Amino acid sequence: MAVPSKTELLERQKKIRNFSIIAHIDHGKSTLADRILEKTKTVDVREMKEQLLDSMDLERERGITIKLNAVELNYLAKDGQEYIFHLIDTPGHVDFTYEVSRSLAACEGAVLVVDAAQGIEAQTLANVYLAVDNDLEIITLINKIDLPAADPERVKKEVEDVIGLDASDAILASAKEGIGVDDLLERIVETIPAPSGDPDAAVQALIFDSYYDAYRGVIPSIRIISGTIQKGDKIKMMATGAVYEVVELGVNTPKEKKRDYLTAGDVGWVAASIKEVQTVHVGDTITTLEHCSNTPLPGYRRMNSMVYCGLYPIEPNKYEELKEALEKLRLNDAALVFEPETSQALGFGFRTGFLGLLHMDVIQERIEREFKIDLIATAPSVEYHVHLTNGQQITVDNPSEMPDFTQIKKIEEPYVKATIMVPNEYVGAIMELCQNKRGTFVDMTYIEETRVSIHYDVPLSEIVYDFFDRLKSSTKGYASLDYELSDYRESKLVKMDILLNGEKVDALSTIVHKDFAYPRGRSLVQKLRGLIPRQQFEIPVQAAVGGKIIARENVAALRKDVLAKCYGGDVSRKKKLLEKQKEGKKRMKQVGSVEIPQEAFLAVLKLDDDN
Amino acid sequence: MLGLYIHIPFCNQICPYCDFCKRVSQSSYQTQYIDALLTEMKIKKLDQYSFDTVYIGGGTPSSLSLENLDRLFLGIEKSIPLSYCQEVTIEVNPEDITEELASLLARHHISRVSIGIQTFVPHLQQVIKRFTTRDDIHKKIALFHQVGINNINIDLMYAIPGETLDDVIADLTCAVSLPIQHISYYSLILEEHTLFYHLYQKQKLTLIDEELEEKMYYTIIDTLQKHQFHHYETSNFSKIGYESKHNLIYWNCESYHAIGTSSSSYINHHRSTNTRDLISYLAYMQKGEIALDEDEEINEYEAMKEEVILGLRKIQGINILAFQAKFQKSIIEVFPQIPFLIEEGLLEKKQNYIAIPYRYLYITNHILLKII
Repeated sequence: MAVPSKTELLERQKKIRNFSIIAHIDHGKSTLADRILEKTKTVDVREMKEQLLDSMDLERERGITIKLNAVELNYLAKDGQEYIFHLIDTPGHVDFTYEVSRSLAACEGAVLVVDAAQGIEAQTLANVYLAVDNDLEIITLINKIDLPAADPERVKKEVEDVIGLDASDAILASAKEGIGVDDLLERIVETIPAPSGDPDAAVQALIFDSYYDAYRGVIPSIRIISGTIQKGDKIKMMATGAVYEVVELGVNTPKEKKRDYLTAGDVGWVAASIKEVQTVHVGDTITTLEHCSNTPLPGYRRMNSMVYCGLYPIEPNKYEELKEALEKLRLNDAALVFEPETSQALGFGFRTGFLGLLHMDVIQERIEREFKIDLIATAPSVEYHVHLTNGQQITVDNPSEMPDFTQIKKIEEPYVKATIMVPNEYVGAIMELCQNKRGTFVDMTYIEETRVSIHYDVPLSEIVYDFFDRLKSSTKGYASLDYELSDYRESKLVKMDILLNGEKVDALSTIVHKDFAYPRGRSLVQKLRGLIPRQQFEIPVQAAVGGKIIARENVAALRKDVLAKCYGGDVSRKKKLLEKQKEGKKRMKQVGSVEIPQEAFLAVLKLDDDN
Repeated sequence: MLGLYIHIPFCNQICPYCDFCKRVSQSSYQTQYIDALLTEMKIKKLDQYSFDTVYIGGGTPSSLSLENLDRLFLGIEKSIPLSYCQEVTIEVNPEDITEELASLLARHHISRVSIGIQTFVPHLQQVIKRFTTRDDIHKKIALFHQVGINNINIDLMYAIPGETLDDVIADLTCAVSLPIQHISYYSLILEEHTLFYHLYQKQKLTLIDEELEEKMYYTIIDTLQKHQFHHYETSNFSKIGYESKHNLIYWNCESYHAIGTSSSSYINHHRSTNTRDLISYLAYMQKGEIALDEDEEINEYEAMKEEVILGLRKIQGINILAFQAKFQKSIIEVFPQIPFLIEEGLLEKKQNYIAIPYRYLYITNHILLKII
């Protein structure tokens, strides 16, 4: 188990290349990664697919990467030498910006993939800036050059104008056709610097991801910046102070391969029987008690939830199961936070915090699919700062907990800086949308003759509402959006309650801007009227602000639900029919005398109002 | 009570609303089919049972030729003495009714005839492609009376596209003027694999709105009650003592055998259904094998559920004491929602019976879902 001499380690270090691929969704990142794996013959491609992609159905279905993967590849270059590549995958979604930044911090280089027809998108841009901030060497690859609409020269110019990178030597590629992949591999060897870092120095390792293994506990993915970690070392998480003994360490090829040590420049994993997920934070620095460093790596911050919602099991007796599901998911997802909450309408559940809407969707879907628990999710809310008349300040992330308006002096809400990239013919549509979403125009710059980048300050609650859907529909899908939290600003906000059959349903309460209360109230009660199943009596659906009814609709009484004929041959069918109807009912929550389907709680989000 | 259902899958025409197992009559198949039915009776050893009721339905049994009908009855009577049954029903279409048919049926001890009329209103007859007149029906019923068949049912239909409340009243007026004992009155049901379904999907057919349909239903109940047709099942009305004994076997969850394509029997806690396919049915019978398509074991809980689902179709409702005697369990113990529903007014308890209240008859499923 001896560690080789420092000279040998440094000799090996020169052969290491650590890099990520930065790309917009659909610009071909996965295909390119597949080709690289194929060319380096590290692993049978089919085996790789089973290993990497089957791990999470959702990733494949949505065509996005949620969890990060780091793979070690061996590449025999044209110079006759064998190089060690570490390809570090990054999530491609705005919710996970911080995780991306930590992945990039584990690299010396990045491959920027841009679609030869579509050009640069907002999220790509954000990630390229993260790479530039991390001083990474960037290789530009223009992908899908085989497409009829490809215009590599235009895209090159865009890369130069918008990002300021020299794109004259950009690689023209088609990952699908295997064009340009050899060039890329050589370019990685030539231009991405080998890592530096003294194998004998005090240990500093960056945690850029972690996953949970049922037998071995939390397993951090790390990049060693300096020093060497061996089996048996005592590792310390610098932010949380937790200490563990290394049981195993190694790399993924993508098959897990155990090693005796990981040294400066290496990318791999450590298993140290870590049972408490809360002690492992992405961005934290690991050191060892044997070679203890006093300085953590820069850039660490705790991830904060931006969006909150209530999660309730449809069947009340599944509360414990839901708790276990959330705990298990948290093992793999330090950004997931939750605490118990009670709703008059929905019973016992959890207030759950997420990095963003996609994160929220993914967690909900995983609970339903992997843990088979039918959920009711309340409409997402942001965190409000509420200043009370008595001088106290509280934070509210659940609309039903908003104090009575007579006790409120002012409410502040989170704002984001939104960047929208769009063909210039849609500028008018974007501006109209942002104005309707209470946005404040910041500026607009031309990326090229026909595309612009528009900046707005927008309340996060409006982004959470239905901004993204509207953005996509009003620009035929051409717009791309990136945003980051900026500050809290005072707004005229009110709480809107929903009453069903005269009873307030706390889980349907929302916070809306005063000027939007009427149209949204009207639109919501109309929507609910269509969603709430008819009963033997008429059900009034009302929206109220501060005790005043602002909108009303009625769910008409059920008139007909009967089978006209039922004889010997019809019995089985009739029973099956009733059982199917019964199944549908299972996904509803009984609130007082009214049954409310799951969708009703999200109706708040998908209103076709004029705002 | 023990019943026997005999299915005849042939019709003279395919109606645009009907998805029943059917085939436009072809004489070669008819002859083979009668043989097959008689074979199935032998395979199932039906001569060993004593049947209280026999029901020959379809399709359209009267679309068989008189020879084939005669052969069928002769065959049946070798195993089952029809004259000893309490009720022997056959379904007929108005256009098939002749003096010859009536006397043939009488000769073979058919005691009850069910005539498929659907509507007397000309513009609705155009929609469903079924044509007859009140006077014609009146004459044809007389043919049955002449041979001593005095128990007559007519099938009617409401909620036909284009129908108004006045049309329903017109049909009711015709119906109560006829010398009949029983009326089955069904709403049009849009079934898949029908011309109507196809037209509906293409938005070329507009269904009656539910509110109007509900009004039609209550108009039917109230009118027929006034004319001494008492409402005894969701869609069935009769003069006192003329309830369909055979159909009550279904709603009381009693036993019945069945022969012919797509027919279902319920014997010894098993519900068994024959294949729907005529050709394979004929092939099975030629080989002397059963033509089973589905066999479902009805365990005690399922049986109790069916008791509720079918029992509540009866206007009188479910007899609590009979339930207790049958299952050795109290219905309230098995379905604990019942007392709450009684309190809510969605069910009503009258002496030993639990029933759907009059005003909720048209949302029976809604209430059933709350019970089971």
